[in-house]
Amino acid sequence: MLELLKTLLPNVVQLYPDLIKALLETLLMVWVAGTISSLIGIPVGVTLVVTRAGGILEHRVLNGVIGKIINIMRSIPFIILLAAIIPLTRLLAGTTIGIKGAMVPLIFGAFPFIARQIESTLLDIDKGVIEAAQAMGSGPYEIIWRVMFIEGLPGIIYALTIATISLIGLSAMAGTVGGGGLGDFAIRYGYQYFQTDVMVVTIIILLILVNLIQGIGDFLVKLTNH
Amino acid sequence: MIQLLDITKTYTAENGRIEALQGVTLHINAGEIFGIIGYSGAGKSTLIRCMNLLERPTSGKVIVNGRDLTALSPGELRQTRAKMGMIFQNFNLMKSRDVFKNIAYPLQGKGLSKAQIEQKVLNLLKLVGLSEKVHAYPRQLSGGQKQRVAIARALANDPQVILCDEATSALDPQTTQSILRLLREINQKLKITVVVITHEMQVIKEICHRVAVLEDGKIAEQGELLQIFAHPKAKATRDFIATVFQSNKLYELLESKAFLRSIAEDEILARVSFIGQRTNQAFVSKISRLFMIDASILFGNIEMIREVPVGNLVVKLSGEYEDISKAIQYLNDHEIFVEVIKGAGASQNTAPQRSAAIS
Repeated sequence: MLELLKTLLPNVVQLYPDLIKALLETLLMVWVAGTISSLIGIPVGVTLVVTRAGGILEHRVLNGVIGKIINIMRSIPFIILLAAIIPLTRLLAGTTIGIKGAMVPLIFGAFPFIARQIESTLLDIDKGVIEAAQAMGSGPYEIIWRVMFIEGLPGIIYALTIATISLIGLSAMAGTVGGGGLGDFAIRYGYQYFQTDVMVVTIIILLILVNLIQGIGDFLVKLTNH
Repeated sequence: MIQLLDITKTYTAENGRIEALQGVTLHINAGEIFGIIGYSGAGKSTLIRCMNLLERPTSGKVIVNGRDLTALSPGELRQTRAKMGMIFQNFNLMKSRDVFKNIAYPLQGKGLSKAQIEQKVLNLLKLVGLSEKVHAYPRQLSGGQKQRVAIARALANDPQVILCDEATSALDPQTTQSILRLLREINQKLKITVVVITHEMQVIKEICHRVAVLEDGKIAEQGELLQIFAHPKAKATRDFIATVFQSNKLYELLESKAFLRSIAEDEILARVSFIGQRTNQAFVSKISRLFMIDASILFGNIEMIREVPVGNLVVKLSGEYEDISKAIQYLNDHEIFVEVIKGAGASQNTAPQRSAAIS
């Protein structure tokens, strides 16, 4: 078995410990950056919904300012963002290389995306349900916690699933620049050293990873959707 | 209970200002079922939303139990709203919560124990007749069942009033009847004031004690249900009543020249309306005998308005002019309302109503 693998995937077998390390790095980047960007993105998305015209905490100026900032951040291609915010990265993470250095741009790349996804899913909640909650005497914060998050839960899970998957893509890019993760691994060995088997195996791993996350997300959406 | 004083509501839309309400004054008494009827766009939904300040009126006062809602702090307003149940055309249940949790929603955070909440929810479900659906999700319920859950939810905080925003408009006629029965039962048993807005006169006829007709953001007419039915004044009111009496056909008939020509010169066409016990009196044969005239009923309809018969007949009277005049006088003396539609007497008797009747 091992002999067969050695013949088919010589470089992969040789680099096996590095591959595992790269996979763990990717998972770590996605997990940490995903958590932090959700913690920023969800409140920002909620703010965008409740402050818009006719929202339960209408505040057009705040809504306009946040909306514009999000738009600006979303319009910068990630690879440029990586380079553009280097001083900020150094300030926040203390370094611009390695996983730590990749985290900051990942968060700035992902949270505006999450904010917009959350906004769009929360906007889909039936206005009548929110009106009914108001008629029952619920205040705006109660409506956010007890109506919007509960009614919007399947949509929120779906949005976070998509965000996680796109973070895997972003983490590959960030890794290439800063070093670390599956992207860096695939580019370095698979592309620069012409080790095609490394490239193929990395792609397969990413494929499995993405499908696994999508599968878990779909399952949770189904579980929460009545 | 609820007083609206000179309420106006103006929206600024892209294509100018929309004056949804233009000085509405209403007084809803505690314990009554008050109906507000109007066509779509008349401002009904805005009006009912002003009662719990889901819409803040541009000017005017909303006084509930002697307190002006527009002057309350947000916290006080929320407490007041909790005592004002509301149900909607589209039910507005939370689809991610089952029936139990939907009804429990307004009870949570009110200092009740879990057991108290459960007791309360189960009692409410019993009241609306849905005990077996306690763990169903809204998606699994029919429209009528959803509205029952919504009613139970609206009753959760022991409100003094229930506001019904087109609550039966999305339901079929049978289900509408059952929901209206439930609302009437709640009004009688729990002594809860009910405010109903609708575009269906059938709904008003079925349960309301008093009614206001809203037209173009103004109250066109208001009063006791029977009075409104027997002697409608505004055109909008007459049109709504026509839907119940199905007299649109009658009006079509009256408008057709061919029909009017068929009435001879010495004949008189009159609309005869009456309320209550007079229905039982054989007035048609009576006037025929007493005044030696012929009276034939061309069209007729008798409706039970809250268990009182209300009739509308179109009668052709032929005979000597003097005799017909006496007959009309006789009917008017016996509180049977006669409105001459066509004929010699038209100028002399109840003339102002004539044009209105035909219009």
